[in-house]
Order: sequence, then C-alpha cells, then structure tokens
Amino acid sequence: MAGEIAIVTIDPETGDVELDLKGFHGKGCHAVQESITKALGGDVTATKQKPEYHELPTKTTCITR
Amino acid sequence: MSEYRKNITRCKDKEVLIDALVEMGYRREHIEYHEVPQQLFDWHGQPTCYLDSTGDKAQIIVRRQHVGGAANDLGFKLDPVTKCFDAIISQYDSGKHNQKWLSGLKTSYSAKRVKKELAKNGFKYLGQEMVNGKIQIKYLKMTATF
Repeated sequence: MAGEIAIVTIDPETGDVELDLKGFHGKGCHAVQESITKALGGDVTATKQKPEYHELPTKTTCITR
Repeated sequence: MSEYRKNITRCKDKEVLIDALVEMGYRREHIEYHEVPQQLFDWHGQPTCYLDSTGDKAQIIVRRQHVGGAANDLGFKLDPVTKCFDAIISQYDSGKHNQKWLSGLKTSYSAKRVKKELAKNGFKYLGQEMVNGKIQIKYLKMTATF
C-alpha cells in the first residue's frame, strides 16, 4: 500500500482555496482537481507534480546487406 | 435600517452551508430550510419587500430572534441561474454580518465542501494546522501497489 497526500490551504481572510496535489502520484490527479474546482464554483488554485518523462530507448535499425 | 441587500456567494450545497452557519455560531435547530422560499421579516415582525416586490424570501433562514437584539431575519436564497445561495442581509445587520463574517462563512463552507468532495474520492482527513496565517488541511488516500 502507498499513500497519496493532498494538501488544502484556505486563506481565512478571503476564503480562497489552494490545492496542493504534488504528493499525488495517481492517475486521478486531474479528476480530483476538477471535482474540487467544480464543488467550489471554480475558485481554486491547484499545484500538481510535473509529469515524469521517461526517455524512450533509441530505436536501432539493423540493415543487412 | 431593515433594507435587505443581496450578497453573492458560491455556496451551492445547502447541507454544507447549514453546517458552515453552525460553525459560525448559529444553532442547528435555529436554522430553517424550506424547499419553497419563505418570507423574511424585519425587526418589527413586518414582512419586507426590498429585493422583491412580492416579498423578500429565502430557503435558508435564521429568524431575527436568533440573530440578535433588534435584528432582522437572515436569509440565503437560491439563485435559479447560478444555483448558488445568495446571502440576504439587512443593512442593520451588516455590522455583524459584514465582509469579514462572509469571508469566515466562505472559509468554513470551503473547508467542509472540500472535505466532502475528497471523501467521495477516497481521501481521509489527517488533520489541520495554521501555517503562515492560513489553514492547512491534509488528506491521505491509500492506494494499492503491485
């Protein structure tokens, strides 16, 4: 089992909401952000982990003559 | 002055809004909810019609005797277009229900609404703390790894 953390920060002066999903590695990250944004009527700032890019192995071509 | 003014909110969830009002100090049993909007009354007990010529009405109401001395009813009326509950606050009560109070209500509503939404997504509440003057709430979702 692994854990994914979501941090919600609310400014008590304004009631503005920030959503930190950097500790979230699951595929549903975007869905979570979207459902929170929809639930609060669009007033949410979200930060997410940058997608990890893996270098694809170079394709080798064999040429036989 | 008993004149009512409309304050636009983004509160769509009536149960969460009622819970937020409880957190703001109103007792649950003093908060009325009506499917059909009901008439609001001023401090004399007279029906008002400042925002609506047929009478100022709201679905969520805290009656004046629970708001404070010489207060008017406090209401939240569903806007059929935005689907949000607008706060109907009298000019007299805008000293108590001022911008700071509305921000507190928004904060409480947002915290509760986010908690409800994250629970639907399988997150568990871990706790909250104040960080640099802001409320920081942590949630955890356990996922299976293979």
